[in-house]
Amino acid sequence: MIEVKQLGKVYPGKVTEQPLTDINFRVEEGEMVAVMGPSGSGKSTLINLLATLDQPSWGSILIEGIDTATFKRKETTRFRRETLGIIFQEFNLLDSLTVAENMLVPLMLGSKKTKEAREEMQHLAKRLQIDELLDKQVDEVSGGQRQRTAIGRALIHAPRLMLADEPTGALDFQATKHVMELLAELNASGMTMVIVTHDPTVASYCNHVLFLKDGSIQTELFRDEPRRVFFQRVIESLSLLGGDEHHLSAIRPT
Amino acid sequence: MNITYLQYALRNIKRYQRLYYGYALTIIVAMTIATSYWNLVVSESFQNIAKVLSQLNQVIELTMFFVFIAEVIILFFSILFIYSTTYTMLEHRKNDLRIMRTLGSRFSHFLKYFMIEILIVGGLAITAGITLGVVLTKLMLLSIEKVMFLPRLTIEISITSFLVLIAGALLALLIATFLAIYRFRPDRPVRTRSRFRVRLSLIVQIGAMLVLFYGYFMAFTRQEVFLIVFPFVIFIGSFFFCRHVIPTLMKLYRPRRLSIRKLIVSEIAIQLRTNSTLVALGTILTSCALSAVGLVFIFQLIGLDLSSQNQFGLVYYEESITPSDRSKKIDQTMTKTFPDKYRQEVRLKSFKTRYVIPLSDYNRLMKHLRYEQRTLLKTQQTFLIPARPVQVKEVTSTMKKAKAEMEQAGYILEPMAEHGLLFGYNNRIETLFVVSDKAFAELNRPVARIRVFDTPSYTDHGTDRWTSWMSIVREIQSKAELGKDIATPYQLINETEDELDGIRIVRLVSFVVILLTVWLFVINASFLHVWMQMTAEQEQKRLKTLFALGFSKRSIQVFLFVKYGTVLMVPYLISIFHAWLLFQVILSGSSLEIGPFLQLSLIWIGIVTFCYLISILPLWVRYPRHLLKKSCESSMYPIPDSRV
Repeated sequence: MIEVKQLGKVYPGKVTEQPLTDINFRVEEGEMVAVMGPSGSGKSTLINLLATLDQPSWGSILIEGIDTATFKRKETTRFRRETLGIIFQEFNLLDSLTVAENMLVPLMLGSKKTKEAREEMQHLAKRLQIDELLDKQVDEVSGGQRQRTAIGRALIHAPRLMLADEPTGALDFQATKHVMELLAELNASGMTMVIVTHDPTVASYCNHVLFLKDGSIQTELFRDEPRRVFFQRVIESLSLLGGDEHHLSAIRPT
Repeated sequence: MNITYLQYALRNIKRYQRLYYGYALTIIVAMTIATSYWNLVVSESFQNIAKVLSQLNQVIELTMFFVFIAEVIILFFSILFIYSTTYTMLEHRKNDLRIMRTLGSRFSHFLKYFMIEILIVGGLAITAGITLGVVLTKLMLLSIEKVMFLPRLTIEISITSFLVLIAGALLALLIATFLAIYRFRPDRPVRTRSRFRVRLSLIVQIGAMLVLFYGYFMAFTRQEVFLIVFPFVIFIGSFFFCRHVIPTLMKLYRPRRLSIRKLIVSEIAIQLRTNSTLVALGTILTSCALSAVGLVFIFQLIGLDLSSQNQFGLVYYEESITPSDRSKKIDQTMTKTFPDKYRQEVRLKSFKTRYVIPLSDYNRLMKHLRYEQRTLLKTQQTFLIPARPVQVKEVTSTMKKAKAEMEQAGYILEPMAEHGLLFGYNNRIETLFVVSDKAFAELNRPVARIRVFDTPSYTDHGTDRWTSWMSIVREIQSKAELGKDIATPYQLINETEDELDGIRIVRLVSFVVILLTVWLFVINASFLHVWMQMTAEQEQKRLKTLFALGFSKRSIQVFLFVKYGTVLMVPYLISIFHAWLLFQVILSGSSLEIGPFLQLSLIWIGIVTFCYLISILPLWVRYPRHLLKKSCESSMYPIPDSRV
């Protein structure tokens, strides 16, 4: 689904943004990938590039075999509208609209009929357990409900690739669990996902974890064991990531 | 290493520099205009013009009155602006303040943090404003010379007056800042409103609504009391419209299919509702500007009407036995340009500041002006003629002294001449007597002369004769200088049945109003700038979301253009509505029918709308473009500061 080759990104004159130096990885169709790393390791820059919201300085990103750098403006927009779903840490809902209207925003751009769109939205809301809140303004619902609304918005147009930036960063334990179970369920139905996170619990739901440090991928883990065991491996890798180079080689896949 | 208050303030100024731009700009413009007005108010030489050019007395008095009003308006709105901007900044920096409070900052600490920042930015802005004010004073004087047909004016600028001005400005700055910080109380945790306060607020709101509706009733029934309640009506009205009426109406718009139009409508509603106080203040300013310009239009009509009967006259004064080259040149020019106009030479002799003119010269002028001619039966008889405006109304001590001196010299005093014509040609002439030709000839004094010319009147306004006349006036103005003690070599007299010199007053009021309007637009644009800065961070986030959801750049551009266009124009339309109410009440108060003013009103609205559009253009066009660039093209994540 995604193939990233020798990807690099620098921000001339900006010290706040971490440059990416040499990123290489593959995401297979139907995979659920977590990108982990300390603050300032370049996670956000990477997700920006994957979402075509930014252009790489060198290297290439191939999504479904097509280099995103060759996209024209209209194609980029269509790619985001049809293929991509994005979830933000701070939900980024539109305060002026209701829960239902927020979920319907992506459909404004499509040609789906009103009745169909509404039915789909109601179905999704039921699945996300927010069907009781549809007519409420977003500032009248809780953090978890807001994130579920945001997920609903990202899912309404049935994207093939979901990018999530710290989707549980602003949620409590219960809400995190609920959101991650939902994302795992969606992944099981065939949706490819890339999740940026700090939280090992979130990473443990994924089947592939990339560890980013100082702008490059230091190591990656593949899950072939139960979630609890995988969680331990993630924790171990994270603790080694803070150490020196020879510790990292211990977890580097051969 | 410790961080000092000064370092902290400097860093905050740098961090919030965009928010401070509008703040500093408003203070600079306010100070520039206030300084130039202040220079006029404290300038002795400007006020001496009234004595020198006697018939200008009334105009100068009115000037001072309008300048005073303008100063009060500037002071009031400056305090209001500084207060609301500071409060907005406090809101904007709520997170920083919470941290400082957690670290143990007290009210006095917060005062220090902000006062230092405000004093640095405000101090620099005041200095820049005063410097520009001196330049503007020079330009103002040049303009006043042109619009009021005066000789060259020089105005001294004293250090004391500057110190008073700076002290006043700093005081206003500090009071407004203190009030804002005191109301915000960043040192106190968030408190829930007591039941008493909730009830009080409800009663105030109901009271405000009653005032508003009663105000509208008075406006529509054209009762003059509306003028008193106008400031309340406009504030409550704008607040009410932005906070309740428009958002509620917009909420009613519920299309079956969610569209970008619905998104824009709900965004507009929320923007107006959350920032209704700032919008209401901005609306007051725009309405004031609108009403002021409207009033100038009314004055223009009334003034032209009042002045239509006025007759100009040029008097050239020269204290020499033989006419100078300059006197000859003016004589030649006037004869060549206006051969049909009356010309006369009036001789005069002086005893220090007491001057005498012969009866024959006086009567020739009176005959031409169709005034009553006088006779003096005896050689030693004399009578006083007014030389200063005050002498028309009362007997001054100078006049009494001069009369006594004339009596001592053996003259018999006849009753004073009764006419509105003033002979105060020059500031040297304090009193003026008419004596018989024989007595004049017997006086052993050098002869001075005055050349009096009839010139085109206001009825010639707009014709070639008027243009020629103005070019002569400008030529004379460029060579004459009028200062505190300098004698003016010429004067334009205004011989009129009516005391009011409409044209000059209109020009003067227009001049003050134009400057004030410019300032009001600047301060309104600054209000809007602050408002947009406040919402910038949230707006960036919103745009990033839309962009990530697959909205094209073009549709986001349309979204921003329509949203900001409407958000900027709605308060303006509310202003137009209120200004129109005021305008029609003033018209009916002056017993004028609204009909003939309709066309004029449309012109007035057109001009002010154009000025308003110019003032908001950077906010409407450049600001969204900037937001778009920041939000959609560089990074999809919020920039962690407020800079836009």
